[in-house]
Amino acid sequence: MSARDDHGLATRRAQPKSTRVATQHVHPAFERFLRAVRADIESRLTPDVVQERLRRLTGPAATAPAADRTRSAGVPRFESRAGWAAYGYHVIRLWLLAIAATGSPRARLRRNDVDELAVETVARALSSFRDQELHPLPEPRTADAALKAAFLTECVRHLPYVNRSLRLMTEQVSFEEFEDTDDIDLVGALWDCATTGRAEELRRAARDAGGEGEGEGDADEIVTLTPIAIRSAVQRYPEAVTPGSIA
Amino acid sequence: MSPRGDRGALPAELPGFADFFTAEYPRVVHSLMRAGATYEEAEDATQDAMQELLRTWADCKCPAGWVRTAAWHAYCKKAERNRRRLVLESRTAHLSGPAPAAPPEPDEHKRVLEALRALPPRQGQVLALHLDGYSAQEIAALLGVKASTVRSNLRHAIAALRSSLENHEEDEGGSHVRKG
Repeated sequence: MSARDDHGLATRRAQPKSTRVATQHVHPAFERFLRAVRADIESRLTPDVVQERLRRLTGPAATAPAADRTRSAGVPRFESRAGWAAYGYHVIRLWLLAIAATGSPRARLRRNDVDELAVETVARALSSFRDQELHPLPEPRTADAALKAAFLTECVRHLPYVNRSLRLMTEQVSFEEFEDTDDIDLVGALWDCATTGRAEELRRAARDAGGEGEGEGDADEIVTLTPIAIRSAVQRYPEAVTPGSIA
Repeated sequence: MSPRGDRGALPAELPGFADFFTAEYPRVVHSLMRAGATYEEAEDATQDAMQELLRTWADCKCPAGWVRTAAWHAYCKKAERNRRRLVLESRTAHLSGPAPAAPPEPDEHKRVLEALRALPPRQGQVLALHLDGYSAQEIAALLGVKASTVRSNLRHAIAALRSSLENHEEDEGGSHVRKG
């Protein structure tokens, strides 16, 4: 239960947790249903099908190569999308590996979930990042630290949502547990990893990841930018990242 | 107008829309299916919502939330109409022909679908957004209600779903006992 709740904090806390948990688990049949739906979507809605649906909606020009299209207003082109996706995936993966290595009880993160969490988080972050930028975005290799911090802020913003969604889909998580943001705090665990001298886990994860990242994620830079991104996310998106995470 | 019709002139915002569509279309379809829509219903509703979004793309500040809400309304409208039509067709068939054989025992997937579709629309919508990773506060902002109302809807939805599925299991168990 979030501290921002203006009604239920005291009353719900006053109730014994054990009696509620038993009734609020998702039914196993519903879990199986959710898994089946997911598999169905993955098999039927392939990228080609999605592009075909887009063509149906906007005409062939919308999905033609973007090179000859000009943008006069609105959301800028995002030709460096792939570069940012790779950069985001690399950094988020390092974050999650570092958290998993600490075994933080705030996160209860399993290594098996790291890839899926990273992919989904970066997909969401790319959309919101692109929507906010008013100029064409350079490749991350040539981007300045401020731009990288802005992108990582979006990653931090989406991380808790993706984690909640994934947990609910793959585990038998009670509604009460799911809503209890004090209990599951991935961003708080990341903050712990990146500050107070414990950035060692983050550096170790970066060292271990060594040649995988194609050089996008310089460990020092990631260690520097991570707390900045978390603070920025807390300030900009308090509904997503609670200030308590960095207390 | 160009020989290519309206499509000859691309709105300047379209590249942004294309990226948004590519990322969000599968998620919205997925979200509706998790709330009980068939694949076809979910695709139709999402296409309708995306089409509507395209018209207001330049002014839409929160397209992800907007398109989910619009898709949900489109789904509810169409699904309700389709199911009413099916019921009518089924009744007509009953009146004009011989009584059909007893329907086969629904499998687990169908039972979950029935339970989901029996939820009040608002509970179904809250459940869909919840499963999509939205927090109670975000859902509340999207639907214009209090966060406590969202939590209440969600709690009732999960409890109703569970109760419905458990009742069925008990009935099934009971009938097996009677048969034995």
